[in-house]
Amino acid sequence: MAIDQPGTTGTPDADEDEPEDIVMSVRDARVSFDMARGQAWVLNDVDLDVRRNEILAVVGESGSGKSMFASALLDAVEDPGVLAGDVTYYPDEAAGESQTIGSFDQGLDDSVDVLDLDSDELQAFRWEKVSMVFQGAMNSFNPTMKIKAHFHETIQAHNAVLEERMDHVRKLFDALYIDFDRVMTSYPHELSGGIKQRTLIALALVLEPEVLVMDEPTAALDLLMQRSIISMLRNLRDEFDLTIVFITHDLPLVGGLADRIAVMYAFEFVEVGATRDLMKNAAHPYTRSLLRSVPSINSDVDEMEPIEGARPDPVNIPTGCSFHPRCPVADDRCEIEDPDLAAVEDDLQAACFYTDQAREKIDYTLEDESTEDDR
Amino acid sequence: MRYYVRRIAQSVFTLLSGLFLTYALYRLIPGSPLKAIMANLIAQQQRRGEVDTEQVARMAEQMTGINPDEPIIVGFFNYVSGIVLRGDFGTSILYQDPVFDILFRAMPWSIFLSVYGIMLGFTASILVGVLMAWHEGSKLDSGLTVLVLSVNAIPYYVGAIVMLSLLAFQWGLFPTGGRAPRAVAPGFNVQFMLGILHHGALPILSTFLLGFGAGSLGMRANTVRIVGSDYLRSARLRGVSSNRILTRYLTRNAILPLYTGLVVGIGALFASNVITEYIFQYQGAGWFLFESVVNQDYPLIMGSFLFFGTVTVLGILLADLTYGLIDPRAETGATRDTF
Ligand code: SF4
Repeated sequence: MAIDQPGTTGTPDADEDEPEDIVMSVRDARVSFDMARGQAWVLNDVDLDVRRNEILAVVGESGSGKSMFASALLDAVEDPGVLAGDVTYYPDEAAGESQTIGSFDQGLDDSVDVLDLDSDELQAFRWEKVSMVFQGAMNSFNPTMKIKAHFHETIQAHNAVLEERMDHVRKLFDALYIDFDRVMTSYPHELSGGIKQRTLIALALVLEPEVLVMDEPTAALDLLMQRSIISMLRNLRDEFDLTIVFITHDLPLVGGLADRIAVMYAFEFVEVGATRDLMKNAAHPYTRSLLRSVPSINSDVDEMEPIEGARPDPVNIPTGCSFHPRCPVADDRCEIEDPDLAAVEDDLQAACFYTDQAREKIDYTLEDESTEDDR
Repeated sequence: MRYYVRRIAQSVFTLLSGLFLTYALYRLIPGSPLKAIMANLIAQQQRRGEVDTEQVARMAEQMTGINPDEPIIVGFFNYVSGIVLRGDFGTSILYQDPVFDILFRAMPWSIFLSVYGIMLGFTASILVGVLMAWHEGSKLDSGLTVLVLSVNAIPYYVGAIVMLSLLAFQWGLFPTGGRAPRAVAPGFNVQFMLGILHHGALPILSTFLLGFGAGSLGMRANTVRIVGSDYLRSARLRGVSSNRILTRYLTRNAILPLYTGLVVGIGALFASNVITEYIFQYQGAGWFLFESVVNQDYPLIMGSFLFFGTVTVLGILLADLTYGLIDPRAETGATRDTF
């Protein structure tokens, strides 16, 4: 995890191909459930790196395993799900020893094996290094507690300095355009959905974590509110040096937000790449079908096709390529062999044998808006 | 504000209606106590010769506080105005004492029994409910469920009688009746206090069992629901301690749906005192109510009814007016407009 040293930048290699600074890496992560019908896999040996200070969008249908991936980053998969594999966190070496908020002590190691932490360490690790904004913003606050108490209890639970943290919260509230005094003295039910969602983001950032995982943070909000939150996230990332992992089912929504996109299908990543490349010319048939099914003002109703076929069953994941029952370019090979993620272009990987055919056969048009920068 | 005024007015109206019903029934029932008393008096006079109906009516009025010649409405009005204007609740036929004095002296004892029984019972049911939910599906959970169900299935008066016969009569661990030891001088001395506790233990225990069964299963269900809630999961991930989650998240929120039931239940528990106090021969307000019914002590019946009615109505009123304090989401007035 060498960081660019002034002396090494001279080599042509480093100029072209700067080594990636990775903040979290996930290897062979799998989550299984014991169900009456048999064992269910809801995360199937996935690998993925999260780069420092990027906004990474994880996109998939509901039940594709994307929420499991989010929980895995904090080792927060709920019983009776069992998480195995490796989740590693690499602290920011540049920040060095100055970061001593809270009680998590990473020791002298330069990486943290998250699944190896004991329960106290894990408790400190969560929120201090990696924190999360949940799907249900509406219900993430205790209904009989004022907002302020939620912040206080979190700060105290991590043995952080109360005044200093609350000063930081003020900054967060400013960045999120919410009124500190009014919100702090309110009960959750007195706040609108949008304000609640933003307050929840502030609550997640109170201990200055490096990584913020957001699980469908905008699902319950109306379109306007979604846009306003999305547009705030970039500023938030820049101002507070964040890495954001944004989980969503809405591919076009993150087109203007994310630096990279990882598409999940049937509990695996099927395509990972830079947003621009992936949106413009996706290589995997599933991603292309997703983009094809996006309604746009320009597209004819006839042109819009939802993806045919049923969602994969976690107990009975199809053999070979799990997308083959629904794939328009599938052949016999796809039913037997399971394709791995492989580079298609510089910063685009797809798990498919026939990316060229897919690009030929499935075409889609995107409205310009989604690749345009958000204000 | 208007809401509070209206709720209080409703309560007064409820209380008056109940009182009127009792009064009217007492007058109207064939073979009512009043008629019985009059028939007695007439029979007495007949034995002596002539019957003076006016004198009979006057004597009956003296004994019962009711003038049989008055229309019911007028009589009721006189009764109520006696209470409101002169604080006159009538005079007990049996004890020849003002009803107010009798009940006023008995009241603290009833309140003593109920408050302790209720507090212990509800506290236990809340704790047991949360405990069951916290260990949902475990042996502890099912064991406690069986226990609670069996406690629920036994009527409290049967429990009381069993306790009385075993603990008091057979083994002599507790007194078989009374409110305080007779040999000790009343006052704030340790012996007297202990004596009171000793005498109150069985009635309190029986009240406790009544309150205990009722709450804990409901509490368990509410707690289980909250254990699965988003805000609990979020609190856990934020690192909030288990202690705080148990108290501030689980218990606090699980009590809310039960709260109204608990407070209203206080009225019912006071009423159960009538039986409990009689079984344990504990001279509280309930014991006097029972005595007065048996002895057709009409003014005392009315007075006792007024006492128990007031307690019940106050319990409901209290539940209504204080709910907004414990649940910030309840908007008093606007949304809780109806009965
Ligand atoms: S590997 Fe075959 S089935 Fe799978 S996506 Fe590619 S073409 Fe379709």
